Amino acid sequence: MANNTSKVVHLRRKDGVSDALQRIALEHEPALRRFVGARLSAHPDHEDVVQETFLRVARQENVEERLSRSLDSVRSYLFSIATNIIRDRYRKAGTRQKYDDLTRYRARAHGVESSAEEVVSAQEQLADVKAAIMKLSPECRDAFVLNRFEGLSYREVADTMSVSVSMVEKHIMRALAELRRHVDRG
Amino acid sequence: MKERFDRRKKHVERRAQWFVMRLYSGDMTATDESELLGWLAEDPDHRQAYERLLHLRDLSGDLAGDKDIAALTKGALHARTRKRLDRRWIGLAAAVFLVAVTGVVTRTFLVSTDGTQILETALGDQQTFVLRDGSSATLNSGSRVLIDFDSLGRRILLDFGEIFLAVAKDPERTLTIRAGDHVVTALGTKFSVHLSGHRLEIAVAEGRVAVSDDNIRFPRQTEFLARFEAGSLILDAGSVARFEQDQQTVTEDSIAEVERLQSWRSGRVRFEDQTLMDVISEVNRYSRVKVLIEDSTIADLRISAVLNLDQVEMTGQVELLLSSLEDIHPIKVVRHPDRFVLIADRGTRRNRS
Repeated sequence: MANNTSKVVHLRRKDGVSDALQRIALEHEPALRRFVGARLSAHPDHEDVVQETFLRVARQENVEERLSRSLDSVRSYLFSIATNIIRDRYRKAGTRQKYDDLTRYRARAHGVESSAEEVVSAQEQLADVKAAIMKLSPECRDAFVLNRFEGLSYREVADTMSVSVSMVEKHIMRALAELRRHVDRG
Repeated sequence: MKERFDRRKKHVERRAQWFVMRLYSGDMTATDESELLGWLAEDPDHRQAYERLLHLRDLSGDLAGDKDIAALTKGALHARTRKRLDRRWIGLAAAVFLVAVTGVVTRTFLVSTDGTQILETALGDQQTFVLRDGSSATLNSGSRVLIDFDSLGRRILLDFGEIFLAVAKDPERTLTIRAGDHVVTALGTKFSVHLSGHRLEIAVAEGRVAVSDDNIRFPRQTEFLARFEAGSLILDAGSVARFEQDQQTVTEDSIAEVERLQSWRSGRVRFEDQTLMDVISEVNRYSRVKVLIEDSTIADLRISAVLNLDQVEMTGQVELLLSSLEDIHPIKVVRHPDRFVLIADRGTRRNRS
């Protein structure tokens, strides 16, 4: 299943950032690998995505500032980059209508989802997603947008809202449930 | 029939929500991961529900540039700041019980401390207190502290147990925690202090703290900085310091260790490759029903596990953890009404017939 041998990512940058990157890689690589593994379920692209995430971080302009934030938020940041990489790959595969590995894998998971109407329905879906977010209860909505758009970790959201982490977790689950209900049935 | 179908579907959805939420928490363990992969492989419906939620969550990211969403996000940050100010205002009037939240164990109180005040938690309980200076203090199971704030300084005495602090910056008044023979001094920072008998453990998540073994107090930050070098131990973020009798160990750059030590704040305690002895003494901090190791040959087994903290069902959670240990390790759990006893399992079950 998931490749658990911890391969150290080698990152080079001349401006002295590489130490910070190396440290980040050591600290977060197992968690990132686990995250990507759980998103792609041991798909062969798995290792690629982990490597590319660190490469993208290395290319960021404000990398030092980014990496000096709290642990939770660095991890959130890495996860959102990895999410984008996964999405980019999926999208490219979709527009080319190529049934490469990832598309086929995804198509199996979603049923029919790479047809021509898909592009149109993605727009509609996005509008539905937005409507669903707007309709969430204020507490639940705050927790979701702070996490999703402000990039705050659950703990940071909890600290910002002065509630417990487990409360934030409940809000996040509730928000996901509402997205699903609204987009797929509403 | 239909009703049963709906109920099943709802259950699948909830599990999917839970996994997606956990996935983005950043603290999934190997156990969580294999549980997820197992669940996904169980039934195509599971995978579909899970992938669908991931897809919708991913899709919502495209709203990042949306004006309404941006306004909501700004509002969320702003509203919270205002609310906290309101809370502080209420706090000036009286010490007010504020929120009783969650099925787990955390409550948030607001503490108005003119002079001194004692905060404490029962076994299995956790509480978060918003202190008058805006700092927040979370007490872990079975802990007691004395809060003593005045214009000269912010002093906390950790009598026993464990405290996590997110310290508000105040240049005029440093915050010190006394625990046993040690004094921990903090600038704006996040860290935890755990005192158990003569064993003291300090884990720094953000910022830096100074530990000294005398009782010098530094009322002002300038004074504090001037004497910073003088004989005190400086701990940076990612450091864990342990003091036991005359022994002192400091582990630096160990963010993962700090996170693990503070995982109780998110309602679960994680164990990664620790001895059974250590795991059980930690479990006993949360449980009224105690666990005893009867057989020294199993005390050093290396264990990885997760204990969920649930005040109402703590005994059930302990039992869950123990039975998972029984499955993987050569351990047998003997259940008594008031305690669990662990003995070595030397294949007795197989030989019994």
